[in-house]
Amino acid sequence: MYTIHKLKPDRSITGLIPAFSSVIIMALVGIFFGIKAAFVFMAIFYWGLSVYTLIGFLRTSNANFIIPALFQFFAGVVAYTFEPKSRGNAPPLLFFAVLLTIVFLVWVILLVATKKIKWRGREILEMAAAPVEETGNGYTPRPLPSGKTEFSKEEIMAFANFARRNLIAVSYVGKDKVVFVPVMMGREDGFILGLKNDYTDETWISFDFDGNVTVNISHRDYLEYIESLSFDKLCASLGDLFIEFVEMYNRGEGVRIIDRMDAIRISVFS
Amino acid sequence: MDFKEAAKLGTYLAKDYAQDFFALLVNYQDISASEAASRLGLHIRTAQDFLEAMALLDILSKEEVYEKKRPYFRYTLKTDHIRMDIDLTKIQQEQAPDDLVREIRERSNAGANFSLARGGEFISHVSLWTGEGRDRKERKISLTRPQGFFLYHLPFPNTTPLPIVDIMRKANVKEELAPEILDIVQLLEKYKVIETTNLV
Repeated sequence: MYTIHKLKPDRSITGLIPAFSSVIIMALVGIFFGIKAAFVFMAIFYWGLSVYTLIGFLRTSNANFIIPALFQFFAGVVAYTFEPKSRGNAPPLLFFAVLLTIVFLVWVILLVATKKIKWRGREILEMAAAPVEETGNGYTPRPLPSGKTEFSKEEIMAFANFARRNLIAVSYVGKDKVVFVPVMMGREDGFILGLKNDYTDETWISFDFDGNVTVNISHRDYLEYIESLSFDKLCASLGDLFIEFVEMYNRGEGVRIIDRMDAIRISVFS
Repeated sequence: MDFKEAAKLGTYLAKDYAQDFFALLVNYQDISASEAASRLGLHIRTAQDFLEAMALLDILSKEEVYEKKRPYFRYTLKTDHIRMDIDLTKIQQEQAPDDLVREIRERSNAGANFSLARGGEFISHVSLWTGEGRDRKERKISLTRPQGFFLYHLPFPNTTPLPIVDIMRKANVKEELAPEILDIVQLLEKYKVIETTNLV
C-alpha cells in the first residue's frame, strides 16, 4: 500500500549533531593531547550515551533500550582498552569487548530496522491527518474538547504503560487525568532527561477519569504539515485516533496499533 | 441618583476639606466661593468647583447677586441630609432577546493566548496585545469559571460558528449566567478575538 504523506519530509540533522560533535572533539583532543587521550574521550562519550540510553529504558520501560546501552558500554570499553601504539596480541578484555560490541551493534541495527526503538510521534501525526481532506488553517492555541468515553481509570493507565513502552507517547499522570504526548524522533531528549515538566506547549491528548477527551496540537507540529489542514478536523481526528487506540488495546489488539503505525512507512530515523 | 452623579458626589465627599466645607454651609445662611475659600484656606478656584458641583447635584441652591456692578454667586444649603441611593440594576448588562442566538467563533489569527487552568477543562485567562508600536502592551483578562468553561468550548476559527446559547449548553454553563458570558464575548469581540457571523 502506498501512503501519501501529509507531513513535510524530515530533513532535520539534529540527531547527527552529537555524533559529528564527538568526532570533531575527538580529533581536537587527538591533536592537542595525543591519540590515547582521544580514545579515552571516545570511551567517556560512549559511556555517557550508555547512561542516557539506560535512563530512556527506565523512563519508558522499553526493554529494547538495554541493547543499545550495552552496545555503547562495550564500544566505550573497546575505546578505553585500545592501545594505538601497541604491537602484538590484543589483550583478552579488548578481544572480548570487540566481540560483544559487534554482536550488540548487529542487534541494534535490527532493532532500528524493525522500529522497536523509534519514537512514533511522526506516525501519530500522519495517522491523525489521514482522514482530513479539508484545508483552511484555523489554528488556535486552545485545546479541543474531543468527546467523551467510558474508559475506566485502569484501562487508561494500562494503555498509558503500553504507549510509553512502545514509544507511542510519553504519559503524564495527574490525579484526575492522563495526558499523552506523542514524541517525534530527535525531540525525545527533554522527556528522557526529565526536563519537560510542562507539556502544554506540545501536542497532547488528555483523558480525564470522568471520560472527557481533550486534544491540543502545537503550532510547531501543525506547521509540519505540508498543507494548512482544517485545524478542528485535525484535532478531532487525533482525539478519535487515541480513543481507537485505547479501545484496540483493551480488546487485546495492541500489536495491531504497532502494525498500523508501521504501515505508514515512515523512515526509521524520522 | 445615577452612577455618574454618585461617583461625582463621592469624589467631592472624599476631599480633606469636605467636612469643613459642609460645616460652613450648615452654619452660614449663605456663602460665596471667596468667603468659603478665605475661611478654609483654599484656593478660590477649588472652593468654586466644590460649590458648583454641589449645586449641580442639587444639594445647594445658588443665587446671583451683585457687589456694585460685579456679579457673583451665593450658595445656600438646600437639604439637611445627603442620601446616596444607586440603582445597580440600571448598570446591569443589557441583554437583547437575540443576543444568545448570535453565532460566534474564534477569529482566525486573533493573536490571543488562551491559558489553560491547571486542572485543565477550562481557560483561566486570555492574554491579548493592545496598542501600536511603543504603546503596545499585553492585557491579561482573568476569567470567572463559567467564562473559562464557555471559552473552552468556543468553536475554532474557520469552523461552523455556534449560537452562544449552544456553547453555554456544551460548556454546562447555566442560562442565568448569560450576562457575564455576554460581557466577555463583547469584550473579546472588541479586541477582535471573537467574530459574530449572523449579526442581527
